[in-house]
Formats: sequence, structure tokens, C-alpha cells
Amino acid sequence: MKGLLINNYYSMQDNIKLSFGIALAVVLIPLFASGSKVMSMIIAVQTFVFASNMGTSLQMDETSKWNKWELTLPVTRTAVINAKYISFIFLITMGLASSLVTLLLHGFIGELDVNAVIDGYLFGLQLAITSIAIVYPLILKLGAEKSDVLLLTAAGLSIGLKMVIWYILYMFNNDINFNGRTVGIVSTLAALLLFAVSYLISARIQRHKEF
Amino acid sequence: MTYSLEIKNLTKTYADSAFRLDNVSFAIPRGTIMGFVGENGAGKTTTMNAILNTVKRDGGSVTFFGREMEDQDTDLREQLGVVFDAVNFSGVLTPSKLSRVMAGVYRRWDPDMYLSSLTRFGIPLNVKIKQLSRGMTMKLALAVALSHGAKLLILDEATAGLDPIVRDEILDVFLEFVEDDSRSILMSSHITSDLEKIADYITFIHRGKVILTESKDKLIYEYGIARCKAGQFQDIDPADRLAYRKRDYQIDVLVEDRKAFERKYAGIIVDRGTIDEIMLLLIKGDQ
Repeated sequence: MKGLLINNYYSMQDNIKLSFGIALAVVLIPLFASGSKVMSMIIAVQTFVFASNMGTSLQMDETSKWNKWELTLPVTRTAVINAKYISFIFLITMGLASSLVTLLLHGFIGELDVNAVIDGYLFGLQLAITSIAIVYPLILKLGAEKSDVLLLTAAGLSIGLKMVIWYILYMFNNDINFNGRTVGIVSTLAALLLFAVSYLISARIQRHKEF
Repeated sequence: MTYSLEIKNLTKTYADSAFRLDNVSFAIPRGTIMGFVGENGAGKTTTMNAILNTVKRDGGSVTFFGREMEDQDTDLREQLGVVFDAVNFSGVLTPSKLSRVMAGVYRRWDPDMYLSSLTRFGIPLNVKIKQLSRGMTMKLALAVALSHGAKLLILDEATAGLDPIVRDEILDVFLEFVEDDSRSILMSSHITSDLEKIADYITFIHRGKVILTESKDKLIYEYGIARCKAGQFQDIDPADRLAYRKRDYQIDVLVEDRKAFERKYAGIIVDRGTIDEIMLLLIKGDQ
């Protein structure tokens, strides 16, 4: 599986560079707008941007028919999916790491709001994890050609999921705020659950997929 | 005789297509090259996909070195080298990076052998694969297939679209590969002249069905094509002909034993046929 992970990394390398560029560019936003909400949003964007670029490398693998060829390698179909999901976790970790720049910058100028940081991470993680969890099994089933559209739709659905979670919690407690911590934590936990379910679905699709 | 690959009664159907593989059977003895020919859509690629489990087969058995290959049989796949009619690798990789990928996949990956194949084929190490020509990409795939101690190469149209010089180079590599008697090659190709140069056996497939598997030497030196006039054709015992095809002024008849046919039917000219001519008669001719 090590080789598959290395291959996934190389396939994503150009996108990782682009994502780093975007993640660093958004650090400059506080020059034009400030406040803890802005910082929170910047952290969310930085956490999500790496995951949002996964479609391009998946498209490339499909065009070259790597997806078919890798099945002739001494790896199992499950190992292929394991490698993909480990690579996605790596992408999300890269997003988290890149957002440290924002923390350092705001810490340096003395405007570090811990609550905003936590909310930013929760929203970014929820967005990134849910999007990947929804998109990858669909790409596996339908092909990577429309991965960009699928990713946008998944990002929309992940916000929809957060709204549903907020509504359910609101029914039990009128004080629950859409942007509050409780909704953030529950949404992120739901995203993690979705990620696990997504893995199982992808492994099942891959086991039966014909190339 | 021991076989690298044995396929028995392989069947495959698709829900959205009338095409089916119909009890495909053939075997590749160790140390030999099997050419796999047929028209577009005859079932060559589907057969290869079913052999390699990239599609699920409906029935039949496929054994590599005497064993059925399931998904978990990674040790068997260590012994296979596969080249599809595609780029095969991510375009953003370079041949150098590809070696690192393969080192993490194959237990017996030999970077020195890979490097020497790249040098032999004139493939640059640090150029992105998407910038390589088709010929270079196929040679790269071949370099990978040759660099992990494979015992069986499965090549789907690996020489298609390549110029004669590159093809000739690659055919030499195939011949060197099978100099070791434990190694074999299954190679599908439209370019039957390539198979005439290197194959030991030829399997013809038509509409999902194997119509003939035969030694290449027998096809070229023992089979023949009788050029008959209409009257001569009437006199031929149907048991003595494999296939025939009416042309403008003559009827071409494929016969299994050219010399015996000449002795039996004096006056009928019997030529040696090329693989192309034999394939045309088998596929487009009547029986």
C-alpha cells in the first residue's frame, strides 16, 4: 500500500501546491477586513481548500486509466480504497497545518480569539470531511468527469447537513445557535460518522466495480 | 506441458450489450508467446480484463501457473506484468517518481533493471509522463513490466500506434524476455505482422468466441490457401476445407494441410497464407 500512497501524493502534488497558494493568500484578508468572524472563516477556508482540490487528481487518474491498471498490481481492491482514504486524511491534515499561519499571524498582532479559532476549525473540518465523504463514492460510481460539480454540490449538502443538525437540536433546545459550538461539534462528529460510512460504501463499490 | 496461463470456458456478458464472451478457452505454455488476434470488438480486451479480474467473469476458470487468482492473491500478481492500450500511469508523475511508486508496490522491484530499460528505450527520467509521446509511454509501461521479475506479460495492443522502428525494438525485447523458459507473453494485436515475427501460437477470436488456436509455424508452413475456380471448388470435400471466401474470379479456400491438399487435388494452386489472410478467411469466410 505504501506505493499507492506515494502515487496518490504525487498525483495530488500540483493541487497541494495550488492549495497552499490559496491558503496563504487568504491570510491577507484581515488587511481588508478584521474581526473574529473573519478569522474563523479564513481558518475554515484553509482547512477545506486542500480537500476541494482532490477532484483534479482523481480525474487525471481516470484519464490515464491508472484506476484500472492499479488492479493488476499486487494490491487488493480494499488496499486501493484504504490508500485513498488515508490520502484524504493527509489532505485534511495539510489544511489544518496551513491554517497555523493564520493563528501565528493573529497571535502576533494580539487578536487571537480562541473561540473563533475553534469554530473555524469545526466548520472547516465539517465541510472538508463531509464533502469528501459524499463525493468520493459518487466519483467511484459515476466517474471523475464531473468531480468539480459533485464537489460543489457536496459542499452545499454539508452546509445543508449542518442546518438539519441545527434544526434537530433546536427542537430540543431553543437556545441552540446555528453558528454555536454545540452545532459545530455535533456536525463535525456527524461528518466523521459519514466519512466512516463513506469508506465502507467505497470499499463495497470498489469490490464490485468493473474497469 | 506446463502452462503459465490456462483459460477454460470463460464467459462474460454485459447487461447493456448483446456482446458476450462465449466459452473462451486457450492456454499459454511456459516459455512461449501467444498472439491474440481478432477484429475490433471481437472480445480481446474483454478477455484480458476477465483474465486480470478488472471485470467480473460470469463463468469459467483462469489459472496462472496452476492457480486461480482471487483479489487477495497478490503474490500471483507479483508475477504479472501488464500493459494496457492507455497511458496507464498518472500524467503528473515522472519516470523517476514512478520508480518510487513501484518500489512501494512490488516486493521484487529492481530499480537498476528499470533504469537500464529506460536508458535502452531512451526515456528521460525527469519529464512528466503527460509530456511523453505514445511510443515513449508504451515503452515506459514495458520498462515497469520488465523490472519486477514478472513471469507472464499480458499486453493489450501494446504496439498499436507505434512506428515500425519502435515496434521492432519492442518485439526484440519480447523475444529476449522469453529466452528464459519460465516466462511467457500473451499479446493482443491488430498488427499481425508483429505476431508473425515473434509469436509461437496464435489464438483467433471472433464475436466473443475462439475460432482457432494454433502454432504459428503450423499456420504459416502447413496451412495453406487454395486458389480455386468455381468448378474446382465444387470438387473439394467439405471436410478438407476450414473456410472459404468467394472473390471476383476465384474462391480462396483455407486448408489445414497444404501438401496433403495439393496431393489430393492436383491442379489447384495452394499458397502459404499470412496470418492476416488466414484471419480474414476465418472471420469473413464461410465454412
